[in-house]
Amino acid sequence: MAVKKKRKFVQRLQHIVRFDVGFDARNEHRNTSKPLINFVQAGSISDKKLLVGDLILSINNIEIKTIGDLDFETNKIDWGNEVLFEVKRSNKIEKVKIKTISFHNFQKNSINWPCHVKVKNNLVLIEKNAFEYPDFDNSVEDGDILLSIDSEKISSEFDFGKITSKYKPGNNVEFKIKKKQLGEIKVKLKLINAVQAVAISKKSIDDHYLKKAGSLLFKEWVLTDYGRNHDDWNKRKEDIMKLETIAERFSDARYTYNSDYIKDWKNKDAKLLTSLLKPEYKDINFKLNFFSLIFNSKIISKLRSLNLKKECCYSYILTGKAVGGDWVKDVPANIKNFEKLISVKDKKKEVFVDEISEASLNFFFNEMVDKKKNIFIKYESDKKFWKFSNKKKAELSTESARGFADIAKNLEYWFESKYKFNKAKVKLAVDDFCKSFFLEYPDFNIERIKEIKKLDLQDEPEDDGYDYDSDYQDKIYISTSVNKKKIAGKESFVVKLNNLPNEEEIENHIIRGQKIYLKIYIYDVTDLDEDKYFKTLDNGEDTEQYFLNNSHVVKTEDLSWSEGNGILVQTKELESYGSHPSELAFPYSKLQIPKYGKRKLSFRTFICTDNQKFDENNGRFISNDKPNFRAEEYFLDSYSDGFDEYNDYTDILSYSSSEIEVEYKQPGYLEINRRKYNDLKIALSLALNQDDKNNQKANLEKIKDSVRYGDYASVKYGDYAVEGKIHKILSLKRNYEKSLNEKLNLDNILKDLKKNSVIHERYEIIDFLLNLATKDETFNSKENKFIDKVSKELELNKEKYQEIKKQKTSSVKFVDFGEGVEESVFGIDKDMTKNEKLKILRKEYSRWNALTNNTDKMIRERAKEMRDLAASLRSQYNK
Amino acid sequence: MSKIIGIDLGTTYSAIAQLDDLGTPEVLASTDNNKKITASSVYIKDQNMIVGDKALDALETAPKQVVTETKRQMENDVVYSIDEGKWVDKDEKNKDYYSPAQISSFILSKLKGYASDVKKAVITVPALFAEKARVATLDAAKMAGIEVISLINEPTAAACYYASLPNVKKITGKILVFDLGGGTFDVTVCEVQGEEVEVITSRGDKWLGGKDFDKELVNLINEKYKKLTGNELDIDNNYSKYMEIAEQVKRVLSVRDKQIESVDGPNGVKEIEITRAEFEQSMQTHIEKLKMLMEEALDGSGLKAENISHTLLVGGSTRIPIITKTIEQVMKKPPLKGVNVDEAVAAGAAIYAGLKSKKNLNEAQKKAISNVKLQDVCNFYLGTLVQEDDPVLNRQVTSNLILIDRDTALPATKSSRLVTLYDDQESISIDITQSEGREKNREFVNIIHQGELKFPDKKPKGRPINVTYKYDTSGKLHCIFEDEATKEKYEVSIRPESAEDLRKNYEAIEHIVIE
Repeated sequence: MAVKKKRKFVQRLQHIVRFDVGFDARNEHRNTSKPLINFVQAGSISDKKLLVGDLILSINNIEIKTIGDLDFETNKIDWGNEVLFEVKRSNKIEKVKIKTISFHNFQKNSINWPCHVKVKNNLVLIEKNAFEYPDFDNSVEDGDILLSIDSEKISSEFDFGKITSKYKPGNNVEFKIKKKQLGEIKVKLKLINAVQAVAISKKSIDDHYLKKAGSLLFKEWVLTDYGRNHDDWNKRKEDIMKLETIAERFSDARYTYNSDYIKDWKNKDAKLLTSLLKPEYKDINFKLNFFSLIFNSKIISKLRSLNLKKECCYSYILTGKAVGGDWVKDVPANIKNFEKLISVKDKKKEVFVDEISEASLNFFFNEMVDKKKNIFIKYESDKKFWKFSNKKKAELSTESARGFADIAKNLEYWFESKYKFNKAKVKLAVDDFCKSFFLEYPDFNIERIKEIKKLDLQDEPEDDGYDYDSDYQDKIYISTSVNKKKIAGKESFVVKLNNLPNEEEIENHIIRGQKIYLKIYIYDVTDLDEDKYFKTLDNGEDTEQYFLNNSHVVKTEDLSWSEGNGILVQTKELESYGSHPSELAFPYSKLQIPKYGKRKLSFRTFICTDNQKFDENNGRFISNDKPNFRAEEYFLDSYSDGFDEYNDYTDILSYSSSEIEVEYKQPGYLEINRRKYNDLKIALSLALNQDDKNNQKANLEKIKDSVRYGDYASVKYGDYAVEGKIHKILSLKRNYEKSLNEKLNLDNILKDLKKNSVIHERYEIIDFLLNLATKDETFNSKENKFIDKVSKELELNKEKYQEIKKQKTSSVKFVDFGEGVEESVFGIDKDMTKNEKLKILRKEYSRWNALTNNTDKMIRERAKEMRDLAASLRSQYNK
Repeated sequence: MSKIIGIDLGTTYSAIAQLDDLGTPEVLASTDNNKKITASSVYIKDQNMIVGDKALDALETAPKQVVTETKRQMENDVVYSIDEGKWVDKDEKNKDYYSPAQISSFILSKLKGYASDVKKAVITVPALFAEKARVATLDAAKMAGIEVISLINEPTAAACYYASLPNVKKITGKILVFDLGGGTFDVTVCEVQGEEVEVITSRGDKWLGGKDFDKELVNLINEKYKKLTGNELDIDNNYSKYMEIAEQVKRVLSVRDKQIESVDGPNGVKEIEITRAEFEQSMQTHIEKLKMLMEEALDGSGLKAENISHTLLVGGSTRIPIITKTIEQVMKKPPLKGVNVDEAVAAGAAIYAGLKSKKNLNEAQKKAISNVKLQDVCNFYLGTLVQEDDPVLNRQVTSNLILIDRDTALPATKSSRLVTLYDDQESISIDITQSEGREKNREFVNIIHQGELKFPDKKPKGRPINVTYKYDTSGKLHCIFEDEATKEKYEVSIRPESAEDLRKNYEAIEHIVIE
């Protein structure tokens, strides 16, 4: 029996069109069930067009047999399209046209229901799928039984679909639910539409997730049609959460209750945190658990020296709770008088801190303490309680021991209650505290608190109606990716562009008299190193110089790929009409990368106005009249708050960078000495006919006119031109004299040339040598051998070299490749097998045979000669 | 009613055929000697042109006035110099000398005389005849007063004849046509189903044929003469004479193992013995070429020797034993014998002529060829020169963009989109190219037409220009270069009916007597 292959849906970024019709079939039966309509959502695009009982026969003239077929075809449709349905209605076949209007229209008219249902053992069980209705969310649990909606009994999933399809957004509805334990309840709610639901979701994400990750999460959720188009949205969600860096966890911790315990931090996080810390904290081993941090005597002693922290972090470190928070029972109020930790113990074992090494202590907390239980500590206080000993006990709950999230949160309460700060001041104070603790700047102390108190900071008015549209959609968020691909037969890097500004967004700028451009520059960022950068920052050194030394723009020799300055760039004006490129390619051959070897290239894409200028020398964007290095900072700390968090670069509307690795097999432009290259070219040219002293002067004349010292030889460069000319004369003289004495060493020249030339320059040299050799209309075996050797030593592609040689010598009157070199003429190696040789010779014969048709007599005659040579050689091999 | 004929205009021999009243191709015999093949030689005697075997007779007395192997010069800008007795480059001084087209026109005129009232003909050319050579052939026909209905590739014509033979109708499948004539070699793979012939690919060498084997024999005879006498033969001044001797030896060695020939040289007449083995040894390079071209044709058609049901022999040189032995070695089975190798091409051309002008046929003729169908392919790559990036040299280079691939079934139409190179471009230069190989290098392609598409206004960089090539079954190429937005276009049909000086040549030929 033939098995129907499972169709793969094309991954779409657009929202899938919803016709809002229902069928009486479970999801797992969609590929086998007929598309017989059981309900049509009121207010939807299908309302009154498709009817209950219609059997869908085709969509856009494509036959539909199952609901799965319908899903598959629907996936191809875009919002705004008009769709032609063919349905069987009351035994007649009818054609129905449906205009899909727009996704926004769908959102306005679709209801966000708080639950689905699933029938099990004849009971209609609730599966909650939304939290936008707090009353429902708080009082209903998964597995509760749905009895009715507005008194209409629900006995099946079909009933649920049919009944809910009658409602429209804004309608009131009453659910009658039988709780698993508490009997029947009624929940009333006003139905909201998808627009409102998304807005609530956005707020919820902001409240519950770290800011950056939350933002990304929301963005991708919307882009993937609310997770619907993603292969595995839940996994992606988890991945996004993992993208947080330690710095982000720290800086954003106060916004969330979800930050991880310190003990859960990963190695890379710990490493980064260590690099962020002041030098005195460098020995903290963050891989250890929370308690090993608490009882690090070095930290304690350091904290003790800081007045403020003695009040908050200090107590926190001991208790796991910050000032202002809930105190664990038995922890004395005078905790600030804590002086010395004596011991810690769990139920089995007590460890006396003073008596054991730190390693043992760490071992104790890592290996011995049951993390789920409380432990007890003894400590000394500098204040005696009455006449009793100052040795005290306290209990720590391991479960309540949390990370900096708690410190920050509790500090907020503390600043609010103790200093009566408003929200703006609380935010500033907590920010400053966090920066101070980890970055040491600005220094946070009681004076700073007093300063903040005096500041005239007003809270921003609260916006009741959260409009996610304006927050999200007004901004342009392009994203890019880069990969290697062959374009028109050329190896290229292709930058894929997503979410380019739409017509309206561009029009808005045009109205303001601005043109919008897309620009892509490429930088070699291989040498940018996070650790070194942060060290530079820590040491207060010049980060700009660091970036200048370690991030170099990719150049090009082809001026048509630059803006006249040799810097490789793709620039496109984005007009409000017409289509915009979704991909832009950079042929690999156009790239001049600064250094040799495995390099990491960053493709930096800007959407900017025509007011934004870029530096002519290094391609960086200009801000405050000088090149800006924000792109480098952002690359090293890409999870900071966006590229332009303070809205400093108003003419850059959006920015995205994508990195890719490349193996650059020639010296980079930073590594090549141009003059050296030209010197070597002269030396090599003179070495070509070194033993022909009679003609060496004539050769010098040929070379003199042909070698140019690049830009230095241009009049435009004034003094440099003179300097270049002098250098050229000296080089010619030096090498000419050497050649007369036959002291030009070919091996040494080639060795140096390899270090000082890129691939295309090596071909240029071959071209140059062949031109020199054939200038007198002859090409002799000595010249042939010499140039063969140059090509081999410079590791040129054999076929390409032979091609160039063929071209150069094909119209030369007299060619003598020399005896016994026939094989090399055709690129045959001694090591080749007989079959390989025969194959090459057949190819060569065929090629030259074809050229016997050439209109150029010289080429024709050469072709006959070469054709016969190939055939003759092959006949010898083939004996 | 005027006759429609097929002409095989060969390097060494030519033939003319017509359909008889029953639709069977009939090769017409020479009015001079009743032979069905005529030597492609012209003896220029003042204003008289003696064509055929009689011309060869003059080789003894006036060798410089006898023109042979003209076909090999059809694509070249050369003229025949009677003073020098050879083809020389055409220049201002000698422009009134005889061009290859003119000499060919004398041969065609002679052939035309074998039939009465000939106005239209199909003429055969080697599959890989360059465009220029095809044009020269058309010019020759026009000068001879023949209207060419179509040119047809020689192996295609042979396959067409083969397919029409009543006794081989049951043999179908993939056929390899091995056409080795006096001057050219063509190998064609085609699919034959009944009387339908579909060409798959052709390969060839325009400089490989019986004449080249004769040259090897001349060298061999010279070596032996030198060995005997210590002196070499004066080949340069007696080229035609020694070539004729060599041809005789070759013919004999095709049936015997050795031949003793009397050769006159600086030391008098000597008896020279040549064995078949020595002859075959001297031909090894040429044999290798034949092998390579057969292999190429098989590769080009995506077939192996085992897939070929039959190898069909065409051309007089296939009579040489080493040739059939080589074919057997490469094709792993002996070639098919039984078809007249000298007449097959002309006969095929006559059938094709009938197909092309059915209205001129009687009912019996129509019926006889009614089932013959022919599908030919383009034998060259046709393209245009463009500027493109060379990723290795890291700069823009002029390269050949191929539009119509070799072996594309005819008629063919192919389009491509180019763009303007720079801002404010006022025109684009047009170079239409033809190449036998898949060439990118501009040096190695033939530019068969040059033109310019001028824009009334300046165009920005990246402006789309659509290029369309149409290649018809008669080998006429029609090219259009069109600005996509404004529809401004440059259009050209390549296959000029006459060269610039053709008219003058006509006038000249009117005063020439063809014998």
